[in-house]
Amino acid sequence: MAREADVVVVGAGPAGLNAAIRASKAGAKVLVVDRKKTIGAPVHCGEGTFARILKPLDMEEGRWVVNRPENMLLHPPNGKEFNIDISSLNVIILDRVLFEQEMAKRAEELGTEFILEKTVVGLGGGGVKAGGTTGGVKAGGEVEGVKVGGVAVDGGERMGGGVALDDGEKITSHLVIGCDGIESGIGRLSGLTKPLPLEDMGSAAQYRMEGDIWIEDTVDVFVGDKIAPGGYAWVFPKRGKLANVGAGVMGVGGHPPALTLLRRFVEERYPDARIVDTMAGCVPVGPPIDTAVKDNVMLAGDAARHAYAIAGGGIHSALWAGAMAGDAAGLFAQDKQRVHIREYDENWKAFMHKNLKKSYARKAKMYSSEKAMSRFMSGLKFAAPLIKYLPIDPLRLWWGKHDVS
Amino acid sequence: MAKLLVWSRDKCVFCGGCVAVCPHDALILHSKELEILSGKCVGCGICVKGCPISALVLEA
Ligand SMILES: Cc1cc2nc3c(=O)[nH]c(=O)nc-3n(C[C@H](O)[C@H](O)[C@H](O)COP(=O)(O)OP(=O)(O)OC[C@H]3O[C@@H](n4cnc5c(N)ncnc54)[C@H](O)[C@@H]3O)c2cc1C
Ligand code: SF4
Ligand code: SF4
Repeated sequence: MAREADVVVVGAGPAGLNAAIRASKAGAKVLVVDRKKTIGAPVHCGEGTFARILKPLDMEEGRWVVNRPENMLLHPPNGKEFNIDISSLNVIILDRVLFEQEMAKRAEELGTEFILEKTVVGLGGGGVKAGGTTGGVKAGGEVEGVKVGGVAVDGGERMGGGVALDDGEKITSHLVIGCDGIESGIGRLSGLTKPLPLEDMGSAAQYRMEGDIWIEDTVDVFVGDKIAPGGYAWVFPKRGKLANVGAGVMGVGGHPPALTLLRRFVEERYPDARIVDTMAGCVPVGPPIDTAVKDNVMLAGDAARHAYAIAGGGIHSALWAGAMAGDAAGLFAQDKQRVHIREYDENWKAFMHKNLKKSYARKAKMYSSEKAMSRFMSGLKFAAPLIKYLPIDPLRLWWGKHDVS
Repeated sequence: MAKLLVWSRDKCVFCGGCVAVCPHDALILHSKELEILSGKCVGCGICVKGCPISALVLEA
């Protein structure tokens, strides 16, 4: 028997979980599908963000905040490192497995159901043909001879009427929210996004390491061609002796694979620390897209390229976009008016489109050469001592009134 | 003849980067496996460059 829901959310990352929480809270019947066996694991993330992520969350701060570093030690190409007091930025380091499991628990309390260890391979809904195919399954049409969840909404059948899983199951829904991360099958099936050009994809590797070397209240950032050409390396200390030590490029070009960069960096800098485990991942660092909705499909988070290209950070924006998409889905479930879908598109753009663009422009300039990066670092060094004395949130100064709410 | 794309299960961290950059929709990331659709893959090697940990290689 085919399952049914008001909303299918594809992907149980920060965007999808927050969308599910919001939509369930508004009374919608929500099904979340994720390929992972355990929500949140494996992690593909440095886990560094800001305390302001609490704002779009429907839960209190918990054990998932594992550190609050107050200093950032910057290591420019010339080797003359300098410290910035970042206490006014309220940086936090997360345990993303705990964080996402906590979010999933909240979603479940509100009625969300989860389908794990399944990949979505088709997007259904009669009438409108989707842009492409994934996994040999035609979108917007038939899956093994069976029509996938076409729904009549506002007088016509539209894409977004359901999804097909890789075991052949079809789920019927009124709405599909693609929170399926960088690879976004939903983005491609709906035609909202195209394959990412290599230069618009950040690619990074990270070790969880144990050692006595890092200072718990200090994050380290290293730049320069020797360590991470066209990117950066980082040390984000967690609790105790643990730290996330990573390296990556902000656009794949002629450089060695991220893991090779990381291995070299760690061998030289932290030869005595123990590698607990290895992870890796990719993040969109291209220009923002202009619309994240089509018919009854909405995209949020990395799937909608909602990550800040300048450093590849996307937790905060994914949570906000997920919240906005979930709110729209909740309203849509009540009255089936497509205006809510269009409103979501306007809302996320009002919130971050301008800054995503600005962030991309800065990224393109800053990482273009070591010289450009050195210039940026000199500017930062000059401004650094002033940051903690600013009368307003430094993030607000950098980003303007948008986004930092 | 197009080169053959080979995936290493032991190395793969299931991040989806390869799927994101493949211009031919030739990859599906399942829960425990990366499926390479041989009818679609043209052996261009773009996914090999995108993979952060070299879990994909092209063989002649
Ligand atoms: C190495 C690395 C370090 C990073 N460090 C930071 C950092 O320090 N701070 C920060 O803010 N951001 C960081 N980011 C970016 C951040 O991880 C992402 O922006 C964020 O996870 C986006 O959240 P999301 O919910 O959109 O997608 P994701 O967290 O990627 O979640 C997508 C989910 O969808 C599932 N999925 C995908 N396709 C399908 C399908 N077809 N069927 C079923 N399930 C599917 C996946 O399994 C996954 O669980 C980093 C990224 C990388 C790669
Ligand atoms: S080799 Fe090219 S066509 Fe084949 S999977 Fe990789 S990117 Fe796609
Ligand atoms: S990019 Fe590499 S590590 Fe990531 S899913 Fe593809 S093969 Fe696996």
